[in-house]
Amino acid sequence: MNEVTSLLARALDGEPPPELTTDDVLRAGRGRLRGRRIAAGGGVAAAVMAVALGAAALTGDGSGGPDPTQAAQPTLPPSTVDSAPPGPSLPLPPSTTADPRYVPHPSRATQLTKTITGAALLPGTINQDLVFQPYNFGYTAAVEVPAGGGRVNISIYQPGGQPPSSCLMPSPDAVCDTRVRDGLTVYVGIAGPGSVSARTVRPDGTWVAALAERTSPAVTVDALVELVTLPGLALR
Amino acid sequence: MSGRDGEFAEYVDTRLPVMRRTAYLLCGDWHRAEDLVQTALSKLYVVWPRLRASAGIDAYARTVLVRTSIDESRKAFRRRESTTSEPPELSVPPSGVEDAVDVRRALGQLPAGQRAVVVLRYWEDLSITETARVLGRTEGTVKSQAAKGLAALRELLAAGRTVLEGQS
Repeated sequence: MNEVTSLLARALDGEPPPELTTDDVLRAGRGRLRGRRIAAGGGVAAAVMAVALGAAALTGDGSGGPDPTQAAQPTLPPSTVDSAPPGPSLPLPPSTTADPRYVPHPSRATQLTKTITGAALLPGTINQDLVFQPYNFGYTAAVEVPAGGGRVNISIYQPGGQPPSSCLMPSPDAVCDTRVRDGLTVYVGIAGPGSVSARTVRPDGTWVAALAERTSPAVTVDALVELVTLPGLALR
Repeated sequence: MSGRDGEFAEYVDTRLPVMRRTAYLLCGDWHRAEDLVQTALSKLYVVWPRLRASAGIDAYARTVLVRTSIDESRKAFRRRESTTSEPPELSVPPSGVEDAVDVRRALGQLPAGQRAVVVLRYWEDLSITETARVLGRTEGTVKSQAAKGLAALRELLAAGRTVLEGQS
């Protein structure tokens, strides 16, 4: 099976740098959500219209009545038009558009690399290969682990949102837990030896997330908890 | 940025590179792979509030990605753009073609469903049961598709000079 995995990995040779960004995905997601709301609003409006038409037909004078489409107009109170779910025609929430995002700098990426590699919490080769780079509104570092096809990904950024409250370990069988270290709540996920995650939010709003998948030598959850709570990772 | 967007952005940051590779193995084109990932993640965004409470986010994302890929492959315009069974003209002799090209070409000749089974089983390292769940197929079908997919890959690669040895 590993040979087939290696074979498939060969198909990825020459992988170009990604053009798709998190912002692109967020925009597409918001667009799809707005489309859903418009569709739902249209459904509600259609249902209201159908009820109004039915009511007009049933309460007619029995002489054949007016054209249902004409009867519908006075029957529909103005408020029914407004009863469609808000959202489609509204601007994005102020918290989304007005949030001043953190602007990453290469020099800060270098500092973060030194801070984390200096702590030497990860196995030797993984720790050595760790290099942070600016990415969207923060920094990220990813290291491929050839043995077992695993990887380590660490993200440090300032989204300005609420603290995370769920386990994001990418496995349906992951065990999610909460730890507290240096006064910080750390959400951890454990999917097996070498496959662990940890993330926390700093008092200044900086999020620090670390994910290890199929790592060998295995990255431990204790190491990731210590890593995400290291001093010096706050971005503001 | 709202809490919903922040958490979702964190997930995307973490998973995008992995999903992009899986998508590439499923479709064989980096641009289309990014389209697939964006489509899958935007679908995920819509259901994020109820999904984030569970530990199965990645399984859901993978399911959406794979099914979107298969749906796309069924569309007529995609079929027009698909690779043919004949290799394209090469400016160098076949002996100069890298293994990667051979593998891509071989993968490109597998039917979409079979290709998805191979990618899920051997790249995503899913079990038969998990693969069947993602694809909405029976375990028997997945076993059969995996065997046929590997056999086809072996044959195609052997024909293309690269031999896949010792796989079952």
